[in-house]
Formats: sequence, C-alpha cells, structure tokens
Amino acid sequence: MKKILIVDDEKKVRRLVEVTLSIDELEILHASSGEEGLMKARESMPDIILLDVMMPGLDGIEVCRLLKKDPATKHIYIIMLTAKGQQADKKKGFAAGADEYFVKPFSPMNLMDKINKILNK
Amino acid sequence: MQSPKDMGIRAKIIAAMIALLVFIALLSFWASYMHEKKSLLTNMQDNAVILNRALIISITNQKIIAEKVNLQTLVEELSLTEGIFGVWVIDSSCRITSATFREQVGEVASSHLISNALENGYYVSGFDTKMGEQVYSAVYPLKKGDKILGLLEVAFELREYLRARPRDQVQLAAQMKRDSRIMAESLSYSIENMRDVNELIHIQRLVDRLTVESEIISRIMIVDDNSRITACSDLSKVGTIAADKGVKAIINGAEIYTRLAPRQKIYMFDMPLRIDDEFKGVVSIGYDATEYYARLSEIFRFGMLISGMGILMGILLSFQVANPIIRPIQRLTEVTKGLAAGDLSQRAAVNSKDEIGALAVAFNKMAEDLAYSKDKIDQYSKTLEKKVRQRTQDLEKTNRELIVTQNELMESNIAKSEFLGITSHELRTPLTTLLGYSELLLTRDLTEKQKKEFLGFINEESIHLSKIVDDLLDISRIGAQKDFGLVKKPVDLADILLKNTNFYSGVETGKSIIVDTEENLPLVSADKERIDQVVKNILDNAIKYSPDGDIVCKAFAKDDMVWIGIQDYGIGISKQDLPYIFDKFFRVKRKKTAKIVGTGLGMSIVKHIVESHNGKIDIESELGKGTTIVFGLPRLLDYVRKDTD
Ligand SMILES: Nc1ncnc2c1ncn2[C@@H]1O[C@H](COP(=O)(O)OP(=O)(O)OP(=O)(O)O)[C@@H](O)[C@H]1O
Ligand SMILES: [Mg+2]
Repeated sequence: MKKILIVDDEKKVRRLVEVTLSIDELEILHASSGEEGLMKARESMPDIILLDVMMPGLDGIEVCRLLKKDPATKHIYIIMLTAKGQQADKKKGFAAGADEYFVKPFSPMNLMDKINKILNK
Repeated sequence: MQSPKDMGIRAKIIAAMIALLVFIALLSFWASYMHEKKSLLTNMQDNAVILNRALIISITNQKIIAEKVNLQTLVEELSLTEGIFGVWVIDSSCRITSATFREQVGEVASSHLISNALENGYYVSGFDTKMGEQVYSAVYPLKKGDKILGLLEVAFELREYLRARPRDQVQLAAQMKRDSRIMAESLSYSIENMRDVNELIHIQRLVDRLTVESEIISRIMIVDDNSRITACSDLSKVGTIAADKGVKAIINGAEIYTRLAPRQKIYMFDMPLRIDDEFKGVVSIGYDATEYYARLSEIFRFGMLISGMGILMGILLSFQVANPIIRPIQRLTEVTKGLAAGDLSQRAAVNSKDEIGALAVAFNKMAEDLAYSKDKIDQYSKTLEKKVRQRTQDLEKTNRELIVTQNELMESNIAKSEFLGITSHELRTPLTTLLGYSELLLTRDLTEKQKKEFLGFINEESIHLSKIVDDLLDISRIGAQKDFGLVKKPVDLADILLKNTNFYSGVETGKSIIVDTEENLPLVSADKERIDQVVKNILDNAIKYSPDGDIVCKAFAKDDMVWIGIQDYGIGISKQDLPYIFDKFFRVKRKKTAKIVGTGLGMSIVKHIVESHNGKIDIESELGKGTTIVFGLPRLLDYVRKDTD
C-alpha cells in the first residue's frame, strides 16, 4: 500500500485530502506542522508528501529542503501545496527540491488524478 | 625712473606748467632775439647802402674829374647828391676854394669843427649851422703825407633827423657820424686823386684805401658788366671772373643783394654800379659783421639768462601753485584708499569751494551712500542668511519627513505585499475548504454524517471568509480617508458592550463573559457602528487568544471620559511584541497562535477608530497570564440624558 503524507496546519485541508484520496487504496498520514511532517516522513517513509508552504514554525520550503538534503528521504516525491501561486514561491519551492507544485484552492478530482499519475509511473 | 603714466598728478601738473613756462620763455626770447637780429641787419644794410652810394659817387666822380678837372664843378656835382646840404673845400688858411654856394668862394670859413680838424689833423663831425639851417657837418683833412693841404667839409641835411623821435635821433646821429666820415673820406680821396687819370688804378686805390683804413669794410670788389673783377681788396682776384651769387643776382637785374657769411663774420652787400643811369657793373662790399655777431651773442646770452631765470621762477611758481591744487586731491586719494580698504567711515575734508571742494563733497556723499548700501546689503544678507538657514532647516525637515514617509511607504509596500501574501493565504484556505468539500458533496456518495461534517466546514469557513472580507474593507476605507466617514451621534458605550457580550455569549465559545457597567454612564459622541467594531475586535481577540478562563468586561466613567475595559486570562503578549500590537498586519508568530485565524489588522483598525474619536487606548499584557485592553472616549458634557425606554 502506498503511503501519502499530508502536512498542513489546517485540519480542514488535511481532512479534505484524506477524504479525496480515500477511494484508492492508500494510507494517509497527517502532520499539522513542519516539525511533525519532517518527523513522520523519516519515520514512515511515504511515497508522496503533500506539503503546505505557509505554516507557523518550520515552513514547507524548509521541510522540503531538509528532506531532499537527506539521502534517506531525498527520493520521496514532494508536492508543494500552498495558497501562494506566485512565481517567486514556485521558484523557491523548486530550488528547495520540490517535484511538483499544487495550488490552493484545488479541485479534489484534479488532486486525485495527479496523485494517480505519479503513483502509476 | 617713473614713466609718465606712473607719475603722480602733482608731478604731472608741475611738469606741464614748467613745460608751458619754458615754452613761453623760449618763444619770447626767440622773438626778441629775431627782432634784435633784424634791427641789427637793417642797420648794417643801411650803412652798406650809404657806403656803396659813396663809392659809386667816387667812381662816377672819377670820370667827371677826368673830364672836367674842375674842383668847383666836382663840388657842385656832389652837392646834387641827395641828403647833402653843401660841400666846401677849404685851404689850410681856412679860405674857401670851392663851395656849393659859389658866392662863398674866397670867404674865410670858421666853425668849431673846422678849427678842430685843422688843429688836430683828424676827421671831425658834429652838428652845425650853415646858411641859417641846422646840418650835420663832417670835416675831413686833406693831407699829403702829414701835411694838411686843406679841409673838405660835407654838410648833411637834418630834415629826417629832426623829424625822428628823440630815441631814434641818437641812433641817427651815430649813423650820420659814420656815414659822413665814409663819404667825406671817399670824397677827399677823390679830390686828392683828382688828377689821376687811370680810372681802374684809381678805383683800385680807392678800394685799397677804403679796405685798409675803414674799420667797417673788410672787403670791396668792383665787377664790370661782364662779371670781370676790375678792382678788389684782394689784388690777386683782379681780372678774374666773379662767381659770387650776389654778383650774378645784380647782373641779372637785382637792385640789392645781401647775405651773411657767419664764418668770416662778413655781411656781403652787392649793388649795381651805374654811371649816368647806365649799368656798368657791380659793387660788392664785405661789411665787417664782427660787431653784429658780438652783439647777437650778447643778446643771446642775455636772453638765455633772462629765460633761465624765468624758468627757475616758473618752477618755483609751479610748485607754489600746484601744491594747493594737489594737496586736497592727495588727501582725497588717501581717503579713497581707506574707503577701498573697507573703512566706510572715511570722509574727505572739504576745505575749498572750488571744483575740488565740490569733488570732496560729492565723494563724501558717495561714501555715505556706499556705507548706507553696505548696511542695507549686510542687513539683507543677514536676513537672507536667516532665511536661507530657515529654508535649509525647513528643507532638511521636509527631507527627513520625506525619508520617513518614503520609509513608511516602503514599509507599507513591504507590509502590503506581505499583507497580500497573508490575505491570499487566508482567502485560499477557506476557499480550498469551500471548493473541495462542495465538490465532494456534489460528486461523491457520502454518508449523512460526512455530509453534515462537510457542510459544517463550509459554514465555518464562510463565516471566516466574510470576517476577512470585512477587515479588508475597513482597511481599504482607512487607507482612503482619515476619519473614514464617521457619523457621530450620542452613544451609550454600555449598550454597545452589552450587545457584543451577549452575541459572543450566544455563540458557543465555551467561555463565560462577565460584564460590569456603571449606572448612568455619560454619553459619548461616536459612530455607533465603528465603536461596535472596536468592541467586537477586542472581544474577539480576548476570546481567540485565551484558551482558558473567563473574560471580564467593564464600562465606567473617569476623568471626563467613558471607558471600556476587556480583560482575558489567556496566552498574553511578550514584552518584545507588545509595542507592535497596534501595527497593521502585525501578528505574534508563535506556535500557539499559528492556528488562530487573523489578518493582524484588527488592533490597528481599533486604534485608528478610537483616535479618530479623540479617544485613548491602552494595553497591558503579561505572557501566559492574560491581557487587558482599555479604551476611553470623551464624554458629552452638556448632554441631558433622555431615557428612551
Ligand atoms: N487578547 C490578546 N491576547 C493575546 N494576544 C493578543 C490579544 N489580542 C491581540 N493579540 C495579538 O496581537 C495580534 C494582533 O491582533 P489583531 O486583532 O490586530 O490581529 P488578529 O487578531 O491576528 O487578526 P484579526 O484581524 O482577525 O483581528 C494578534 O495576532 C495576537 O497575536
Ligand atoms: Mg483580532
């Protein structure tokens, strides 16, 4: 079973992702902060991490950088998930090693398609 | 040496005066000198004419004698000569042998001149009376060796002399004395040689004698009409052709030709020799001009002396005259220098009423004007300086303000973009919820429980969204207007507080709100909606940032103001963050507050509203213990409270 980690400070968003991906056979892991996300990623080695950029404390960019720096976690596919659709933030995210960018608000259907495409590769 | 340009005015004036005086002196000297020279020359010329005439008479007589050999005839002939009153030949015993007046022949002649001449054997001349008429008589002894044979007396008419002025008479007398002697001498010679037939020899002898014996004749030359010299004081020249300018001129028809030979000191004098009006040749006489030159140099020396003295006097006089003119100018110059050096108090002394005095007066006027203008300029420059300083300060102030404004603008720009970031995040989060869950509700088969849960999420986020939109609207209004269109009316703050606490108590917050309002609170003049917003924001924060504990609200009057205080026992605010609570977009960034929704605009809106009501706001907080916010508005003093209910 594939594992997907969703890191977002907003519970409603985490729940939305969870419900959206509940149709497929996927294990959904939750993290409500950057620190927690980092810990859970190392702990359970998910296939994909959906990572919110704007978070209090350790933000998404920092979490992404740390994971991509670490040889043990660098293979994890990271989708940056943020309200910020601006070019500068995209660049920052890619510079930190993010593999994909997903802009809030998003359609649950689109998210599902994207996740399926990545997992079927 | 000074060049004329560098000379002072004094030197210039003196130099000019001296030059003028020298010029005048030299001019007058030259004029008198020329006058003297001319009169001397005329004198000499007159003499020469007489001598020449005498000589011509002698030569002519020589012919007559040769023809007639008659003494009486000779005498009579001579008598016809102009200016001669009479001629007498007297023998050694004073008996008249020939006379102009024939009846006198045989008579004994007696006069002091005659007796004098006979006694001394010398030529004598002087005034006399003949036939009752005044004459000038010249008596000349006729000699053979030392023996006196007789006397020749020639009496000249005195008509001209008598007519002359006394001063001229002296000169005339002297002239007559000289002329008569020459004439008498030449005549006597004629008489002595009456029997000499050889014309040429006779003339030569005449020439010789005249040259040798006459003091005034240095040279005589007789030339015939072919320019051949027939007789000459220089014997070697006899028979040669005369190349003299004078001779040529006379042969060419001139009546008289004179010239000076300064080196030999001779006055050359040429006249035609005419016998019976027939041109026979030229008589050239070299007149001794030594005396002339001597006189001339004497006059010259004297003139120079006088001129020199004149110049000396002039120089002294120039200084005497120049000083009073120059001294005031020099003083004026010194004063001007002082003035130029910057001492504007300098004034020239006014000593005279002439042009220089006027100049000094004008100068003083100018100096006063200058001092006045300088004062003005100084004043002006002082005020100008002040103004400039003021302006500079103003400018600096404006610059500082501009920099502050710019910084503020930049900050606000940064803040704005940050604000945009935050708002976009804050907007997108509820939008994500709304979009996501509504899509799930529409596309999935959900359980009733799920449906309820998701609709709850949608409702929550809708409320949140509308709150954000409200804040944003307020912020945009605050940005546009300072008092953002306040509508002030008498308001009871206690009412507003109670209304809000009731609302929040109604919402499920899990908190008890304690309200304590004073009875009969004074009213305030305020925009009810805005004050409502203020209370709501503060209360909202108190609830948001206090997980546990009650909230205590108070409304009370103090110091002419009506106050509302809201106290919570929540997370509190650290000392570092406290000063920024009222800044736009400020939110305390801590883990605990991260999940609490907000834009950071609430408190800045609150402060702005309170201050636009001339109110005051204060915050007290301690981290972990709680926060108290108090704001007050000025009470309406003369307002009588109407109890509506
Ligand atoms: N009663 C309080 N206790 C503790 N912290 C507070 C309190 N009131 C305000 N703060 C702090 O000050 C910040 C600014 O408050 P402000 O009301 O301006 O913004 P906000 O509450 O975050 O957002 P909003 O615009 O929704 O009110 C808050 O983010 C919070 O960190
Ligand atoms: Mg607030």
